[in-house]
Formats: sequence, structure tokens, C-alpha cells
Amino acid sequence: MRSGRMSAIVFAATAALVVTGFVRTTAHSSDVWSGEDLGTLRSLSIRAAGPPPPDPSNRFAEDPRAVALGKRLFFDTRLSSNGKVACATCHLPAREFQDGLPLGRGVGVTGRRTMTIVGTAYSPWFFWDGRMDSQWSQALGPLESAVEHGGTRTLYASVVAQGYRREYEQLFGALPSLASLPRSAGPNGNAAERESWAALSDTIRDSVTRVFVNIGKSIAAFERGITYGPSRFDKYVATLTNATNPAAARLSSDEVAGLRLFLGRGQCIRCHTGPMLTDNLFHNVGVADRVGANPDSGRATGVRQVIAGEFNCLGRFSDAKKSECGELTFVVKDGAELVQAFRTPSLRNIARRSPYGHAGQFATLARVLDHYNRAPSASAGHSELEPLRLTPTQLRQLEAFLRTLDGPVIVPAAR
Amino acid sequence: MRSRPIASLATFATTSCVIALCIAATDAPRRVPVVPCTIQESWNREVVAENSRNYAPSRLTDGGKYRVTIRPPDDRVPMRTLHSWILHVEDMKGAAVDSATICIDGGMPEHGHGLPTRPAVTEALHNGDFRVDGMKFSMSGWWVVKLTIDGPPGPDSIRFNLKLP
Repeated sequence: MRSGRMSAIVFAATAALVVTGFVRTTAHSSDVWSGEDLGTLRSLSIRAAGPPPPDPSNRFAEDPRAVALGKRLFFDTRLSSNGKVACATCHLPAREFQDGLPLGRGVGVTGRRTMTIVGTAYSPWFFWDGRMDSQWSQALGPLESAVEHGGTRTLYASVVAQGYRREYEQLFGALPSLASLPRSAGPNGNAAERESWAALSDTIRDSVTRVFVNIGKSIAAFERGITYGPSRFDKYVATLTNATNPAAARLSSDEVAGLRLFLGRGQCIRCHTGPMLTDNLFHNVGVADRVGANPDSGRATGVRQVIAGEFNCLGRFSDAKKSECGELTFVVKDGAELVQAFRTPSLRNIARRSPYGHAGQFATLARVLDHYNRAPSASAGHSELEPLRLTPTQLRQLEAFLRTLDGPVIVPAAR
Repeated sequence: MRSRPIASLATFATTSCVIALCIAATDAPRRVPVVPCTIQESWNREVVAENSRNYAPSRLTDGGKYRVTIRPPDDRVPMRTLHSWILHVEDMKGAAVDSATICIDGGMPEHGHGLPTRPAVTEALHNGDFRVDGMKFSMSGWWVVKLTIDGPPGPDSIRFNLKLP
């Protein structure tokens, strides 16, 4: 009995050695990763993402009727002061749901780069400064911005009443009577629009704001399903960890060298973590304001705005319980590290999303990498970067790796 | 004439409430209100050799006044997810400390930054247990969690080390 068990162990050990030797000789030498690195690579893979976390602040987030209504609203240019701007004007589906411009262009020009909405259901914070804390409240910001959609709450409520009454009322109940309301009134409009808004009763203001909020919750339901599919990098990780068909998803030696730099000397992994390749946090990386632009304090201002925000998780328009608003309750409210800190963008499909930086300061990936390599001081606050001292070859390899993160964008089918 | 009885009623109600609260407080079964408290370390870059870091989850405080045990959920710290911890605090005789003001902060000394959230002790439970909400770790590596504790044995502090995979 004893010797039989011993033979089995010897056989198993020999078999393991043979298999290991086989993998070693067939895989490219650069594809051998330590167990720790493999764990990290798995954590970056899109397969690790799973479904997006629930959004308890929006009870319509998973409702297919809200997805369908939100999709139509997303493309509707009537939701603007000049009838020409929709969400899709700056978040173009054919361009990664962004616009490729240094600064967003709605009815005017914004002060920052349009962020993509792909994969944002995984983030607790929205905009470069995190001044909103849900997809639905994010969607409301541009609608009331004077330089984006430029419209007001009564204007948007009347668009819903005229274009979407049946769909809206099936989901949210009866629309309020809007017949006697001013065409354009809202708390964030121009002086005349603000005055008209102030003249309305609390009850009317509340009922109109609820329609406005429900527009945001519908658009968010549509946006929630917009995410990334597997890239070459993800397929590479899958073959490493499953040891199946390694040739199908081989990365070039430069790309693998770039990946090693990403995890190691490049220190990219410090902020670009998790399957969306972002920590969804705020960092000062010393990116200067555009020439002539007003100083942008980033998260330092954004955190005050989200805490005071009418549409935050703890507010009366949120569907969440207080205990479900942990991100806001335990938010870092102050500190020098928030000054000129901006949200880490996802690196998925990054090569397709030039220009880079919170105000499109860098035209190419090479310029971004050069910035990280030099690590200039911040004009305000303190940059977290230190010079990387990478060679031109290493920078090229890092860029080659970043290009392996290109993959499909998945858009949910709406009825 | 009308305001006087209302004012008396309000005074009576307030007094009753205060008395009721005092009774409730003295009768409360060792559960104490949590005093809001934060500490903010400046997480300057610091190099500490790996082999000189103590990763034990149950340790004595620096001044030896308490034994503190940290209990992340399922003894495993989740990554990039908001979660809660239980802290267990005992005095040097091994008796549970139920009444203490505890502040918590954390950071990555090697990287010179703090936690991405500002966690807090939100509930004093029985038997020396305290609930901490708002814990979140943004990346793998060496983290330090600092606690200051002020209970009947006096003020003391401790820095726990965590190695997150």
C-alpha cells in the first residue's frame, strides 16, 4: 500500500515536471510571470470586473423601460437651449462616447476635456473633480450648464411632456401640469431664468425638479450598460492563466516589456488599478492649466460641491438609504492633496481617446508619457510624481503596451 | 398671554427630555455614544525594512495601555471596496474596554499618501468591540493603519501594518 502511494507521488511529480517543462519551452521566454505578477494581471483583466456595483440612489437603474427612455433622451437635441445639443453631441458613440477635442463644445466651450462615459457605472465619482456621485446626477450637470446644453428645468420638463409623456408616466407616474409655467426657468439659468424659477411655489419647483431628476435617472439606466469588451491584453492574461492556446493572444516582446514597466518602474499600477485600470480617485500629477485659463483647483472644489450638492446620494432626490452612501459619508473632505487633483481616467481604449489631460493638454500618448517621465512640479498643490528616468526605448514599449488595451465598446440593446 | 403656557410647556418638555436622556444614558447596557474623532497623519515618504514590520493583527499599544485586535470582514481586506472593520480593545488585565474615544487613519508610507476615504468609529458595541465604517484601500502593498485610543487607562496609540495582495 505504502509503496503504491509512493509510486503515485513520484509519477505525479514527474508528470508535473514534464508539463512545466513543456509550457516553459513553448511559451515565449518573456511570457514567464511570477505568481504575484499573475495575480496582479488577473486583477487588471476585464473578466475581473463582473457586473457593475448596484446604484441604490437610482431605483430605475436596472429597469429596461428606463434604459429605452434614457437611450432616446441621450440622443435628443431638444434637451438644449438652441435645440442642437444632445448628450451624444460630446459623448459620440462612434468615438468612445467622447469628442476627441481638448475642451468640450456644447452651446459654448467648456473649461475641461469631455470624459468618456464608457465603464463609468464602476465609479463612485463623476467628472474630473468628482463633483457628482452617481451616473444620474452626472447626467444632470451638463443639462444645466450654460456652455453645454444651456437649458433649464421647465424647458426639459416640457420636452418630456411633449415627446415622452406615455413612456415617462408608465415609469414615474403622472407628469405635473406645466401649462402655466414659464418656458425656461431654473435655479442655474441666467438671471431672468433664475428669477422666474424663484417666483414659482415650492411645490411646483419640487415637481419640476423631480421630472428633471427622472431624466437623469433614465439616461443613467442607459449609460449603466455601456462598458468595455476584452482587449488584446485581456486575451493575453486569459491565455497566461488558463494555459490554453497561447499563440492566439500573443503580445509582442515590446508590448510585454511595456507591461512589465507598467507594473514596475513606470509605477502606472499605483493609480491605474483594477479591471477598469483606474482607482477612481483624485491625484495631482502636475498637469498645468491651459495657457490663459483660470486656475483649476480640481478635487479641492469638487469635493465641496458634491457634499453640498442637491442631487447627491444623501439628498432627497436620491433613492438610497443613508447607510448606502458610504462613499459620500466617509469622503476625504479637505487636505493639501486635493488641490489640483483630478480623477484618474481609465486606460481602456486610451489610444483612441486623444487628446489627454483634464483640459486636453497633451496631443499624443507619447507626450503624456514624456510628462510622467519628467514629472514637472505642479503649479498649485504638490505633484505626486517623481521622475521615472525611462529611456526612449522604454517609453516606446510602454506606449506599445497601452495600445494593447484597445477593445470593443459594448452598448446595451434597448427596446 | 398665549405664549406663556406654550413656553412653560416647552420648558417642561425639554427638562423631561434631558432627564429621560440622563436616565437612558445611565441605564444603557455599557453601550456608549461614539465621539466623532479624526486624526490626520501626514504620510510622508518613509522606508521601513520589510522584515522589521510587525503584521500581527493583535498587538499592544505603544504605551502598553491596551491590547487591540483588528478584524477586517472574514479576516480578509477587500480591495477598492468600502467595508467595515471591528476593533477589539482590552486593557492590560484583559478586561474589555467599552468606553473609549478612538480615532483611525491609514496610509502608504512608501508612497506618501493616505487612505482614499476618511473612516470613523461609528458604533461602540459590547465586550470591547467597536465598529469602524468607511475603510477602503485603493491598491495592493504595504499599508499602515494608525489608531489613537483614549479610554479609562488613558491615551495611547498604535500603528498596524497590513500587506495587501
